[in-house]
Amino acid sequence: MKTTFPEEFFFLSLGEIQAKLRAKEFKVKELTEAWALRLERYGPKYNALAHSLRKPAMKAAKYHDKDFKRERFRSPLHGIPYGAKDLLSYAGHPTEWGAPQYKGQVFKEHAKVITKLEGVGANCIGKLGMVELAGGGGYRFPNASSTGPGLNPWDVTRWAGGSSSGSGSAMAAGLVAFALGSETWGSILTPAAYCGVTGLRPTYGLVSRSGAMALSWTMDKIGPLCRTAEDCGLVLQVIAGGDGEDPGSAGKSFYYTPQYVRPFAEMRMGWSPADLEAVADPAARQAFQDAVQVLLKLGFQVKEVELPDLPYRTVASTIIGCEMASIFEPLVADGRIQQLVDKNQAAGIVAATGYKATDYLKAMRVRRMIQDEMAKLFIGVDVLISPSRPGVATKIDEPLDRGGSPGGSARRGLKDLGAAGNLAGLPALSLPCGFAGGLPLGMSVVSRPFQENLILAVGKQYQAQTDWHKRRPALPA
Amino acid sequence: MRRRDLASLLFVGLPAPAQQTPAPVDDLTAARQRVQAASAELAKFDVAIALEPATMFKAY
Repeated sequence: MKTTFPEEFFFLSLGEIQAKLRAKEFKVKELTEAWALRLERYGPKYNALAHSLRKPAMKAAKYHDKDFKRERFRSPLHGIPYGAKDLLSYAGHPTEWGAPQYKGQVFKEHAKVITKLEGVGANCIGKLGMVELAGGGGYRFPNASSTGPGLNPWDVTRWAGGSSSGSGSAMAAGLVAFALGSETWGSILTPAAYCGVTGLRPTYGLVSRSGAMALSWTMDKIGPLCRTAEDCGLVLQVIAGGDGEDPGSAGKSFYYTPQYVRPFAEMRMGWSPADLEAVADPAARQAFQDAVQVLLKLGFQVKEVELPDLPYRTVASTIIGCEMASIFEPLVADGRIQQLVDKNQAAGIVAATGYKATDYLKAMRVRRMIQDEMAKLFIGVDVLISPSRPGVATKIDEPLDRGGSPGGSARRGLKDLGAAGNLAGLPALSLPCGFAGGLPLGMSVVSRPFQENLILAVGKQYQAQTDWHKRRPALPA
Repeated sequence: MRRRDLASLLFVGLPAPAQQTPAPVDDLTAARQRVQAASAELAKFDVAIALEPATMFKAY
């Protein structure tokens, strides 16, 4: 008899799905088919699907079923269907980076992270939509993608966030069991926050970027978007590890062991009331205040902190601009850059070729100061918390370069933690923490380099006391 | 021309005087102005001569 999966099934955690697989409630083939058809049906409604991989996934599922029949379990991800941002290569199938210039581009090899996931039996069912070229040129509207604007499953008039738009919306709508995204500056945490899912930006160098489109060699990171913090840990354990093919690789592995984190009572959590004062929407501010209260009650000693006065945004935009200009120089040289959907982004990449070598080196020198200052900040605290975004998802037709929120605070607080954290290569976890006007909000937990187990332990405890990560949007008819 | 207007012409990237309606700029001109503004901001920032650019990240 053919298994039918109820709607709530598609929102289970990886542990819950794996337990059902091992209990032989259904076959991997049935699971893969159900999820791949769901992705094909609903993915285009959110512009979340770049390419379906149902056929290769179904082929792999047959082999996984043989493993399960013999109780040869490879990992907690064995047989689990997932989606990958279309910035990651998948051998023999299109990898188009969300950009019209790369339509039909096919690579011979998988990206390293996809090979690693394949090795433990996870099954890639689709490539997920993204902002063209990961948005480094500075796009004006969310429609800067060859698959169209990433639509938010909580409200399709709103943006899913970028640049890992499809990864965020596919997770929110239960179209994949987990997704891979990438972040150079905000591209995992933003869609995670806007779509109400849990997103992990790993420490720079922990996950290989071999086979991924480069936007900024010294800033790019690959990480998971999942239902829970625990799921993020399970995925990171597989995709982390040294890689000689990635010059930025730190050569480190990761084992998900949140149980060995020091007691929270022995550690300090840093936060800033100025971050909440900067939130313009009263409903969002209240939700963030409630989330902060839950986090502060996890047992940490609490300390108010603020970032040192440094030009985080200018340094980040200069480094990304210079590296991006070098990477996409051939597109500028032959004029193909003008094929980008968003003309502001094309202009941004062309203009970035005008940076001087001394600008780049100065930015990298100031970056060293930022890294040193962040190290000093983390002498006094073990984790920092701050809203992932200062509000809910923006409207799909709203310009993204319109400027900051009107409710800004004069105090710095941790408002530039996004730029600072990416410049210093710090890990961050965005947790769903409430709603405002029916749209999700996210709170970030940030720590020292390679302290993923600590932020995941915080996330796990937070999610044990809240149910925001279990909420799900209604799907379209 | 007032001294303030002249200053905004010399330091590309400074906002135009508030009382004037800014002339429309195309995307590329605006993007180039942002690059020049970033370059000017970095140039103003003092760093120690011995400070080397960031390269690798360490655990701490």
